[in-house]
Amino acid sequence: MVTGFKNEQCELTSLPKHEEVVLQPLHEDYKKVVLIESILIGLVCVVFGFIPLFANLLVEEDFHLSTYMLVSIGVGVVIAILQAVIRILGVDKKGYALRDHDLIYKTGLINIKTTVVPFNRIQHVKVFEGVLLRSFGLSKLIFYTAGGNFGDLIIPGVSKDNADSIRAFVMQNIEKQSELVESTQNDEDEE
Amino acid sequence: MKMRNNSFKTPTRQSKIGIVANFLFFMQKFVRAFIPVIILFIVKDSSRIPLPWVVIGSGILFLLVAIWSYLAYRNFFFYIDEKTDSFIIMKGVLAKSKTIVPLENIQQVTLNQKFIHKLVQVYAVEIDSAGSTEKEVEIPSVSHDIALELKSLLLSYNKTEVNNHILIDANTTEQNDLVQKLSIWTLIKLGLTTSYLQTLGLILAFFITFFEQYSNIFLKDYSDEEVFDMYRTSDVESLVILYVLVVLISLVLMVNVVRVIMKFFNYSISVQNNTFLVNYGLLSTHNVILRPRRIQLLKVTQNFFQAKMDLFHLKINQVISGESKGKNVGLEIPGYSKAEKNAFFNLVFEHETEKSLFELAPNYRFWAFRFFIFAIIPATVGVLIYMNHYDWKIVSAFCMAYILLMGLIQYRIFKVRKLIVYKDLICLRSGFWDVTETWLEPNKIQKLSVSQLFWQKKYDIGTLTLHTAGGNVSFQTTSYSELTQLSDLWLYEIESANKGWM
Repeated sequence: MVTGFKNEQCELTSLPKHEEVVLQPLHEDYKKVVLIESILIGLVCVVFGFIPLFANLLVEEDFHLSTYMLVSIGVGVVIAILQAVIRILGVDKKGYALRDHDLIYKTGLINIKTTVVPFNRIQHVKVFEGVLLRSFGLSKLIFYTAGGNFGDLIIPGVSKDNADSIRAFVMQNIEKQSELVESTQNDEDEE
Repeated sequence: MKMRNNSFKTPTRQSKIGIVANFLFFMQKFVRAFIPVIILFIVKDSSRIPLPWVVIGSGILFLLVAIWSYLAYRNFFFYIDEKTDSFIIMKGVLAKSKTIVPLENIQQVTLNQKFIHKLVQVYAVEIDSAGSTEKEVEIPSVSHDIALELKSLLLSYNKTEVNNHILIDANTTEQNDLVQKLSIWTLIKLGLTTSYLQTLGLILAFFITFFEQYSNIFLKDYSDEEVFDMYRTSDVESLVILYVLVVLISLVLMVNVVRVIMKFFNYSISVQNNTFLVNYGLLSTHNVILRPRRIQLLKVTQNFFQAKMDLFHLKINQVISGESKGKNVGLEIPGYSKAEKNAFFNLVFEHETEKSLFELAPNYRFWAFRFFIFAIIPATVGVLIYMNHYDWKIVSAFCMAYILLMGLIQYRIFKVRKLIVYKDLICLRSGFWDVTETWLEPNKIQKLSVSQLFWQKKYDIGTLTLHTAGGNVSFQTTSYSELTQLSDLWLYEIESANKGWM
């Protein structure tokens, strides 16, 4: 075995706790990105709400407003506002942290969720910049694992420099880890 | 086995008899695609087209398929390229393709025999590689000798597993630690006790598609109303229902037994050097190699009847790679007794499974929430709909019976659910009739998350999800603080031990 700390029996309470880690919030400008996105999505919702009315305008000759059209518009508007509010308030709840051996990402206004990915399970890291993100100098970090569906971890709204340095840090750790794994496996083979 | 040194270094074709296999496969495809047309032709229009044309037409079709299968054979080459250390397959009649698999990425080589393969005595060689996006490679028809030779040769290139494989092929007879065969009787028992709902679904789906497609042929003489009237006027409704029920149950059992026997006929497992070799199948034979290190999730299922017969059903989830995501990559061991199951566990997991360190049950809110969703809401809707149609006594009696039944079902589900933690092993139990235990080692976890809905915060309850390369496992509505402690423990184990997950 190579590592310094061996896997002896230990008290559950003495382990490092991921709940107590202080999280780094996302970049402030990310809120603006979310605001713009929510407005666009909201507009789409409202347009969908207006579809029955438009359809009626085009097809019928004598047009009159029915309650069913009003309800449809109302639903569209309510969904538009709700999603915008939830998304924008949600930004403050998101945060991430790097520890020596893993990466923590916390999110959620309604469903509060903490996700942890150990470095020795990350296969590769991608820094992604969309048009909107790039115009604010931000990027999105994607950590790929072998965990199949939903096995990847995505951190949106990190400044470009930060993202690059996180990526470099994690990649460096992955290399270190894989060397360790290989040497342990060789040990096992020799046994 | 002695290996030829120069084998497969130059582009090699498949076995010549493979042309016949190709031909049969293409014909099978054609016939399958045109079944509706053929049936329609026989039933309806047999007089409209003169027979000579039919004969000439099918003759031309045969000829074309024969030429095509010959060309497919001529253009199919496989070889090992020593310069790039890779295995190369070139194929295609009109659109040509070349697939290159680096030898060191080859994970698994499987020999399969479908029914058509059996007819002409050839094997299909399937090559799984580690590259997550690469498509699986298959050589559809080669003779047994070549298949075996190719398999051992390809596997011998895999650097990390090299020792294992040469040993396996060299001492096939000596090194067997354990050979097990499942008897026909076990399979019959299994067929009588498993997957009723699945088979019922299959039978119903079959009948529904059958009637949808061909109802215009068979029922053209009756109008819907006539049929309906015929049904209405008969006074023996309850007898008919009973009759249908009996027929359906025996049909399900029969189909089940046949299905299980067809699938798992002659099932045998042998263990060599900690590697499992599995063979099974009646019409199509499967030949799978399984390494314990690649197991991600192990599911053990048993229902009430099977518990009485001491029968377990095991399902092994291996790594799901990019291309084969939709495909079922699990291997099944359909019938094990408790002793056999424990022996298997000892081989697969290095750790104690006798005494657990810790058990976690769901909070009673797990039951309450599901009771509300599955019992109270449907019952309320039902009452609102039928209130005015039937006597309130009947409605309320039905409503109470439904609530009681659903409540009990949900209570059973709630009671079965357990998260059991062993040293270096996790077990999650769930189910209603079929109780499934999902086992995994903490070092197989790729990603881990704990979550709670905001109103759950003050009651300290939450949900755990473990992502592995063989699928996800989650445990809902239980003590959140215990979950965070457990996840800290598992993270510590993953991060400190540096044990690979594959």
